Amino acid sequence: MLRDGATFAVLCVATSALFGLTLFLFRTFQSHREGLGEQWSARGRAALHDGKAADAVDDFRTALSFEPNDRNDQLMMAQALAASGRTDEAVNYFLGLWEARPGDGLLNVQLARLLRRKGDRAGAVNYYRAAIFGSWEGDGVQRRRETRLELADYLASQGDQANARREILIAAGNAPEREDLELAFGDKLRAVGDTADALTYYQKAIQDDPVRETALERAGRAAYSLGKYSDAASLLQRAVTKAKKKNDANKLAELTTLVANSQRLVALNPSRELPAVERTEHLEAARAIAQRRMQGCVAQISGAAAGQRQARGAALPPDMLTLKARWASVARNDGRAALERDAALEDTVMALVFDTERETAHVCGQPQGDDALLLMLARTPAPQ
Amino acid sequence: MAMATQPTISGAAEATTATSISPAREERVFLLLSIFIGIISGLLVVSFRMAIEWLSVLLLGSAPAPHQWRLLVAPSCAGLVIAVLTRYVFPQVRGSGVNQTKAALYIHNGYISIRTMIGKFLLASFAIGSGYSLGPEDPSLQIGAGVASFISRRVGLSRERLRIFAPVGAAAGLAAAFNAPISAILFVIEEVIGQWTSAVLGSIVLSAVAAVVVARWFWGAEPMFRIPSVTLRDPRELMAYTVLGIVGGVASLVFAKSLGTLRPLLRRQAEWFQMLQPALAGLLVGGIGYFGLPEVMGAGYGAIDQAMHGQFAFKMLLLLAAFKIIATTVSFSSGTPGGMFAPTLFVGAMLGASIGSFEKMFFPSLTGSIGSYALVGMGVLFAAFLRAPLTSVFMVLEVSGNYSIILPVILANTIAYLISRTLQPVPVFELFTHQDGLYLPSMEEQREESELHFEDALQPPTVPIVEGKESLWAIKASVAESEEARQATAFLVRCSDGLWYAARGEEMREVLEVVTAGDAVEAKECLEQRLGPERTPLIFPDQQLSSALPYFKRWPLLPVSNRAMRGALEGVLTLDDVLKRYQGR
Repeated sequence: MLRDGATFAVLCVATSALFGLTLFLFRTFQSHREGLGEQWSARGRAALHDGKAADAVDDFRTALSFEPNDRNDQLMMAQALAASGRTDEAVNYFLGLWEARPGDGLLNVQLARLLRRKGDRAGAVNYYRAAIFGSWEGDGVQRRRETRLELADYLASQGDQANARREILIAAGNAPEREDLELAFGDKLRAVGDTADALTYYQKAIQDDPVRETALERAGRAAYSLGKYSDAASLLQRAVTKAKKKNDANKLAELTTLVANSQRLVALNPSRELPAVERTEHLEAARAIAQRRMQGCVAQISGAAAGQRQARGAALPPDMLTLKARWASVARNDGRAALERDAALEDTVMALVFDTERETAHVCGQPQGDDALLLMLARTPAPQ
Repeated sequence: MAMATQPTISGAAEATTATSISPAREERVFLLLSIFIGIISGLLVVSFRMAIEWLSVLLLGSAPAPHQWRLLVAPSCAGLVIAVLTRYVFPQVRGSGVNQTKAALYIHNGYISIRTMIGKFLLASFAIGSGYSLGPEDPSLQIGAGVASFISRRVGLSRERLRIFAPVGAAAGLAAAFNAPISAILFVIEEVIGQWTSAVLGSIVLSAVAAVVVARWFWGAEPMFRIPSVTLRDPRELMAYTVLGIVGGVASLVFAKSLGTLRPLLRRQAEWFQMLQPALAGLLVGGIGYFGLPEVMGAGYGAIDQAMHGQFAFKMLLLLAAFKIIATTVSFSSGTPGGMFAPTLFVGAMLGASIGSFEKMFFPSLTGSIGSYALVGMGVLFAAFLRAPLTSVFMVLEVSGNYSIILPVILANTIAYLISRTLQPVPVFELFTHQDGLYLPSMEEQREESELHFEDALQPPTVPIVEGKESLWAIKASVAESEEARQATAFLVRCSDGLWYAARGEEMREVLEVVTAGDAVEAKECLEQRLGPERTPLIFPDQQLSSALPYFKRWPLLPVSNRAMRGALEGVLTLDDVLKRYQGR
């Protein structure tokens, strides 16, 4: 027993001494490796910053050979692979990292971008969604919102405007009330064709900062697109006032034109929502303009036909003949009094005015001035 | 009480072995020493790996790349130093370490000198660190075995224990190097010991676990390779894994043939040329690195990791596999100390990844990851080249931590193993021992030897059977009536407790002679009372035939019982029957 005790005591001492020596050497070794790892990592970052992605890949690979568990270097390595166009390798590398942390938002969004590049739409959308619901370091709310908007951009670029709009609206619904965000949501909604919701967010931005020119201008343009010319005129007029202070002549000219157009459109618009008297006045003015346009177009066609008659004997196109007949029919009920008496006649005249502008634009070329504005009214859906 | 009088044959055999071979003191210290061996081996293997990496940075630079002169200079100069030291200071350090450990076990009673252990540590780390295409695992195995040998000698264990401790240390060294205790244990059992021995299994497990705990304390618990996701989504992928098994089998054959041809060729050369061989091998390996493939230099774990993550193109993978075979063949054949495990895994990973890349290119509908092919490829080469099929399967499972890869691994490894066995009947490690003039037991053959069992020598009982509960007088009367019974050399007594007593003829006649008709008490005594509590051992037909031999010293024959019906006789064994069965094999 005594001999065994002594043997194990000696073994314990020898093992402890060997352990101490190994630990000392290992710490020195690790410190040396960490130094080398940091050195190569710094080189990789510099190369990536300078756009030398291929060099960065080699540098990060070397850095990782010394510090294989350095997560930042692993991520940088994967990003360098992606930046150097080695998409498959980058995907594999990110997947390796993703295995360890499948809920990591950053990894998921990077994978989504790479799969986008590879044309794997379903995979990209899945990873985007995983990123949106994943965990993020730092400001997770902001990163999730940015990811959702990136997904919306991707969907829009794929022609899926409906889902893109839905993602933007969800992002907007979860976002804090901040003017810059509201402007951004407005822009994205306009880009996917949802001008009405875009206007809502522009107006929210104006509420947060009533004197901001960008918000006023974009809201004005949105209202203009939606046929809300009165609102557009008001908003754009305020934007013009702000633009004057900045001495931006081009923008000022453009905005001034838009204001003038808006005001003239308000004056011409024969909307049913107007009071009866006012609507009749607008219709009278519009009818006069359209009638002149009709006459001018008929004369243009007739002149051209006269030049060609000797050769082919041309006549007015059938649609123009129909329009002419309609004008003749309406002419029997000419006069403001007739319009004021008959609401149905008002609608008939309005339809005739718009049809005239559409058809003459088709036959005689794009109109100018009030005709162009009437054509715009004809093409604009009735505002909600 | 009943157990004390009815020893089963295995229990009795163990008891006999324990008392005759192992002193009580050795029993006490055996397991505890295994833990110390594991810890010390683990520490040495950690230091060994550190030395390799440190030397690698020192000699090859922190980022070896093509067209760096040091890639040519470092291995060449290292080769000269290694040649001198191998010849004049450490003559026993040539080779990988596996065969040397087996030789220690079977030839030198477990003896591995401290000088060999130190030499292996220094020269193998110098060689691998300077870029030779060799691995650290096999030298780690020998370092572990050396630690075990040294400690057991110092403690003064018996020769039998000294022999047993060599594989205990080998398992510890390999486990620490691989960070995979199960694979290390299996490899030592499969390739070094050759059989599952309960006497040593506990010690091997303890030492391997202790070594891995130490290694993980320093290096962390991460597996050796960062394994990407591994799934088998489409059963058609098994076709690709079948191809991988075939390719792996053929590649291992090429690898083994190259080594089997070049190694003896180089060893036949003049001595001065043998001294130059490591340097020339270093120059060749350095040249491969210098002209574009530095990945083949050293153990190559970094390149394996890259292959697993799909970072090499198809052609590059094939080039790396081919040049690794060349570089390893030259490095190993030159007599430079270093292991074969890492190069084998390297070649397997490259071939696997190339099959995966091929599949991606031409069958994009199949979704297997390149990493999973690389992983299975490693197992394939391990099974086919090193001829350790069981270890290869567990190694892949252990380093991947993913059970879903099991089907492809088993399929591909089996195919590769069968191809290799058919085309290269002698395993490569065994080939090396033959080339060195040694004839160590072939573990592959041992595994396939079929053991004889009692049922193979069983004969119907031809001796008289008497009932133990009958009175002595009645038995005497019945024996007297039968000529056959009077001449019988043995009797079988069926006892009332369901057991048997095999009595020699003389013994039975002595018992019956003293019974007289006038002695009523003696005449009424039953036979089993007179025979006492001892019974022949309870044995069954499926037990190993060799385990019966010790019992023929006491018993003239052994009744073999049915496992389902106590006392029911299946037949009997005599020493003559057993010997005839062995001679008739």
